Amino acid sequence: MSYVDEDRGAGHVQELRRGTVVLACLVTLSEPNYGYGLLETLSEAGFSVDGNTLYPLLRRLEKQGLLTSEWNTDESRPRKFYRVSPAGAAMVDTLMTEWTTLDTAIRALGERTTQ
Amino acid sequence: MTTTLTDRYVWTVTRHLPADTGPDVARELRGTIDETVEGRIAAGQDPQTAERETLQDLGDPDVLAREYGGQPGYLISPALYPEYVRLLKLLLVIVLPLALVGVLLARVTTGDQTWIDLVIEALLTVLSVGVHIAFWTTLTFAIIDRTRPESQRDRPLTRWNPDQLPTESPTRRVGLGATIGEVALSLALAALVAWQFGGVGERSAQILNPDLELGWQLAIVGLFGLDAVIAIAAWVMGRWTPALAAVTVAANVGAVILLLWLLAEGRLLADLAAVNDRLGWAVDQSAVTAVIGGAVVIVAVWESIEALIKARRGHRGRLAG
Repeated sequence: MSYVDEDRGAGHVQELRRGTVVLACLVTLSEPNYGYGLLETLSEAGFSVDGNTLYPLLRRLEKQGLLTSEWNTDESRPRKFYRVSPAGAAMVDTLMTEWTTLDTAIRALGERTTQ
Repeated sequence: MTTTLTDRYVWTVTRHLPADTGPDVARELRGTIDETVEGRIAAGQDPQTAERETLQDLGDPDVLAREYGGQPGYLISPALYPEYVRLLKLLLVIVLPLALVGVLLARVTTGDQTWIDLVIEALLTVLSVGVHIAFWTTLTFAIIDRTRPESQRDRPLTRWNPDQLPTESPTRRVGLGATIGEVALSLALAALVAWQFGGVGERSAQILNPDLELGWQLAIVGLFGLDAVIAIAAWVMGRWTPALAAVTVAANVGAVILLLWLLAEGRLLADLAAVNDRLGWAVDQSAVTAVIGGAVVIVAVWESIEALIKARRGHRGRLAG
């Protein structure tokens, strides 16, 4: 991870990341996980998200049919596990394609201007 | 049983959520908070601080509740805001002058109040009409915003098109709404003065002297009419020219000289003792003379400065265009 001058770069970096939180969630949740666990996983992967953003987002994605959820009461503390639905998996494909396209397009722009 | 900070936080977040999601969100949120706190304790924090900081990080519970409920965190969305401001301005510019003229006409013709009461009532009416317009417009837009489907919240009500461009432009700074307002106000004042000079009858307050020479009467009514003519001329030309400003200043200087002279001669105002007798007022003739004299000067200075500023702006606008 590279760090940009915090004051000037933080806003733009944050803006860029905001759009990728959904994709990061959907990709990670190909394996079932619960809110706090997902937050930890994302954070370890260098993708820190605030709880107050992530937890409502999971609910929203579930409402949109991209995630399914199930309470797991086997352990001492009941946890609500989320995982991607078939529609969510299709959304991952769409977003991944878009991500690659953008990456290619941005790189191509960069190369054209440096030449 | 004591209530913990976490209890209060979870309750605050979920109390307004619908019955089918509220308890579920509460159960999940509580589990999440508990686990975060445990994680912090494991990292060496004392339990109390851990709980406080976990809740602090989650932030304002009302904000979180809005996130869970899909509710907007603003009164009027950014998408609607420009339309809201446009409508509000339009309503205020058109309705407030009409309200002022309306209350003046209604009260002066019935004439059962003192001058001071009349002025106060006019100001209060304009204020309350303005507050009402602002309140109801805001409420309407807020309701529209909240009843629209979530998917449309980032869109304006009507798609903007170039026909909606304001009639003002760098070379055309005079708006139709403001012109209508100014003309209406000037004509209403001219009518009011003409009606006073014509004799107001038994039931109304005769303030201006109906026995003033017809020439002076016409001149005074004409000066108010001239205001309307100047406003229309500015609109037709599209901007305030130096010539229009000069005419305005000259007319105001003329009006001040004429009115102060007639006031000083005691010819402008009717004999207020008769009004006092008939309507049970207690108006002091010299006080009314002073108030009207002061008002004449203030209004004339105001109008002159306004005309000069507008002409200067119009001139700069033409250079820019």
